[in-house]
Amino acid sequence: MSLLGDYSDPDVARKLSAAITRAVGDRPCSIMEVCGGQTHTIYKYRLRDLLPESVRLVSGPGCPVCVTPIRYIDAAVSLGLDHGALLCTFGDLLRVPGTVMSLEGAAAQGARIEIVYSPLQAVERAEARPDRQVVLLGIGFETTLPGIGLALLRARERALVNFSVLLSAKRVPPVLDALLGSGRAAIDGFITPGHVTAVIGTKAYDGLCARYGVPMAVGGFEPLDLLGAIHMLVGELARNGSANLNAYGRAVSAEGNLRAQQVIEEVFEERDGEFRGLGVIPGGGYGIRGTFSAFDAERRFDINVESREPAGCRCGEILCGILQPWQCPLFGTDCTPDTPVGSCMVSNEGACSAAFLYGG
Amino acid sequence: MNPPLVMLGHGAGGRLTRQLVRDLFCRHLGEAGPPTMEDGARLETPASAELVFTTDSYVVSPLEFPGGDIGSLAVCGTVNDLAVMGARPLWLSLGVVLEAGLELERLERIVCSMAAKAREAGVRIVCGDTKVVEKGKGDGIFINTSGIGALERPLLPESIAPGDQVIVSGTLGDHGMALLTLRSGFRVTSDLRSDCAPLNGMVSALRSEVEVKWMRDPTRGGLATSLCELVEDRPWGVVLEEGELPLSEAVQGVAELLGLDPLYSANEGKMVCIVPPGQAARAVQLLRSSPYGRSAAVVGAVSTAFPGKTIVRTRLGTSRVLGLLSADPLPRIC
Repeated sequence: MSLLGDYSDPDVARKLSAAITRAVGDRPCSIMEVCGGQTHTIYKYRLRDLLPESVRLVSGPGCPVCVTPIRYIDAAVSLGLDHGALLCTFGDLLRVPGTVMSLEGAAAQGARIEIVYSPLQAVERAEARPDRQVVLLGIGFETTLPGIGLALLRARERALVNFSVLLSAKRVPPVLDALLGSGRAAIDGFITPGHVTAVIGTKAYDGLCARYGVPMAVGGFEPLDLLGAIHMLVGELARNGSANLNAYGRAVSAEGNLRAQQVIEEVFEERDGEFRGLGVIPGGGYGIRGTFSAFDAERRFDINVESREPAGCRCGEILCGILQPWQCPLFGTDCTPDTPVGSCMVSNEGACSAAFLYGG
Repeated sequence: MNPPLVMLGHGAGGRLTRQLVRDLFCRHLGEAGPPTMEDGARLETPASAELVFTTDSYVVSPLEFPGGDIGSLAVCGTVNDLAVMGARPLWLSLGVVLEAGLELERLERIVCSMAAKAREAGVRIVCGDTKVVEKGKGDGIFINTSGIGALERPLLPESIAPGDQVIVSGTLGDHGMALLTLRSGFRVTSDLRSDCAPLNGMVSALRSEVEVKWMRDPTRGGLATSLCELVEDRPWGVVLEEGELPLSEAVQGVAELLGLDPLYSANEGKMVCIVPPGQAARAVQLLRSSPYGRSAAVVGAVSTAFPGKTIVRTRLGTSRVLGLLSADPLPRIC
């Protein structure tokens, strides 16, 4: 199989589309794609046009940039400007608005900010610049966490005194739990995130499916991966089932990636997690374990910031699937990719950015 | 022994400056360089020709990359701007800002590649200037080239009509993806190369037989940006067929990996043009006979179905709108 062609084969797509339409009948259902990467594919290929009107797709809270709290951006800006640290960041965090400015704004004022593609590159920067404090802006869900963990392990092994991580790491199962528990979003089935689940394994959702009586299916990031997951979910809904399914078997197992789990376990511990727009979710995040506290930027630096969410921004409700992007009064007027108010308009995984770029 | 470097003195206007200009720039540029060392160049304008004048500045990191360097870029970029305006490129000026500490040997390589591209394009660098800034105040070398060309036949974007065909001269996004991969520090082995090339020969061969209504070299912002700018406020739009877009496997792979769209990625040796439907096949044939147009293809058509919009019809038969990006596309986290 070729990634670049076979997972977007038009004949298979048409067959899946027809099978989905048959399985749904006239029973409407709402399906949430949890991950921002999936949102991006759905918009890029306009998969909605291949689905019957009775299937409503709703974007979920799985875009790491979108859920990063505004205080985090403010803290990073302060590290760059007030503390003179060299910041290493993933690219799409650059333009997320903070209370006063984004990281891109801080760079224009003289903060030293470099884009990295792997957390280990930040460790290399620290080794190359012993005269500078290097801070990795470590955000993400369970997908990026093992990489950040490896960076911390390497920094400890090399006894680096100028490397630290400003962490904002999130866990998917608790946020789904909170979403289902609140009862506000009325979601009938979930496409669970492919990369996250490759790490934590499908078993992480068994309890949720049983407790809330809602089916889930792991989805990949190619058009057929997603249509396949939707097909599984509508079939399960037609049977009134709530099974925990896997439409991304080529990457995901029930147990997940044990080595990656080990790294997470060694370096991080579960804590409450603050999500932009959603508030604090019990057990929804990770912190750096005490044994690695020397590398925790929150401890190394005295970070003093006052943060405020932007007025009128509905990112929180969009991340929960309560509103669609175009239902936010700021969408496309005050909030555009040129002048983002909320984080969902920034990353190209963000539901608002995708809806703006590719048309709702 | 340490390699000889550019010094502040090279910009002071004295003997060192003369050495740099005469022994490095002029020597390597040869007959593609200035005919005299005066303060300006006297140009004999072609009889009754309207002139086209353009300027562009080049800042690129790294300075040298697979498929080219800042020197070849500075010549090809300005030559191509003239060519897609419908002009025959004639003369370039060359302004160079050097950062003290740049290895002279490296500068020599860059000047040599400028000379080679100028010779290939048949243009002459008729005047120039060098300045040196302190170490830390530049990025090795910044170049500005301005260019003058003789307008042969103007293009006629007003005559574009529904059904006209959109043609690209080859694989898309090569330059942008090659540089991004280098800058990312990814240790991937790939055959990604910049497509940096002078296109005036190919354009001229195309226009000798085909009525080209509009063309552009889709540099920064890529094909998507060029087309979005074209269709803005027009009563028609462009529909691209995703399956027809020429993309190398390497570009597709890296684009997937970084979460970027090659349609927004820069090209430095490609052109996109619009021709009447009856001439599309011949246009592709002519382009393919040039070394820089081997994978030329018809990729879409002008349509009144989506006025003012650029649309991509995906392999799945669905359609999405290509919009203008606000700034550089940013690589995704995961």
